[in-house]
Amino acid sequence: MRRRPDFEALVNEDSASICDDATPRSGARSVTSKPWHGWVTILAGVAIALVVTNIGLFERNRTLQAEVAARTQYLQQTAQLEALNREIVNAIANFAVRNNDEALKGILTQQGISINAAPGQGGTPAARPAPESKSGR
Amino acid sequence: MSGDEPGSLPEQVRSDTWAAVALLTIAVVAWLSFQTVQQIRERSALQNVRTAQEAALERAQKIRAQFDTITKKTLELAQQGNAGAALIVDELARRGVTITPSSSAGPLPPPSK
Repeated sequence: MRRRPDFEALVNEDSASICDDATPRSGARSVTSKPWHGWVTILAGVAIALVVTNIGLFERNRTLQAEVAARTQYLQQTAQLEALNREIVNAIANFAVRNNDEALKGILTQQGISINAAPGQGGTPAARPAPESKSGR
Repeated sequence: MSGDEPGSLPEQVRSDTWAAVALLTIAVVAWLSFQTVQQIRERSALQNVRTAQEAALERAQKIRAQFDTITKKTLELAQQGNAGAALIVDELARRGVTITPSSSAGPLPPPSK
């Protein structure tokens, strides 16, 4: 049986509109194969990669934050300790000069702290770090 | 048309669904990208803070070591009968600072990486 040419043209046109979105006319075509569907899939992959990156960064940042917090606390405690240390050094220097106590002087000298007491003055001697030492206060 | 087949969605509905999925994916990727940039910035800031703490930390460790040595030696002198050292140890005890020969001034902070 032979179709009329205009009818055949209509059938061909309809078939073309159906396959418009699809892959070549292989028969096993899919309507979900538009080009931007591929881009959406790639974007979804990027989203997954970003989620993994974010989790890693979040964990690292949390560790770093804890470390910085611990160090800050350590520094704050040291600041309090430093004031006490200064008082102890001054007290030792006072006793050492007043009693001419070599043993007490020795404690400070070992730490690089020199005692500057002006002769003939009854004031408080100043304990200072020796020039060669930077650790004393 | 394929949308007219039994059991399948019309083409228009399918296209709308994909458009919604695409928009949602773009939004999620944009939000995650922003989050990642924020995390990287935060990490950079934290690393700067940690680097800035290095010098202070080194100085703090020296101060603590000095404090430890001075207090321990003062305690030793006090135990040997030095009056001045004993007065200092008493004064420290009055302030709530007890010197024990094996103690240190406090735990060290986490080491630098």
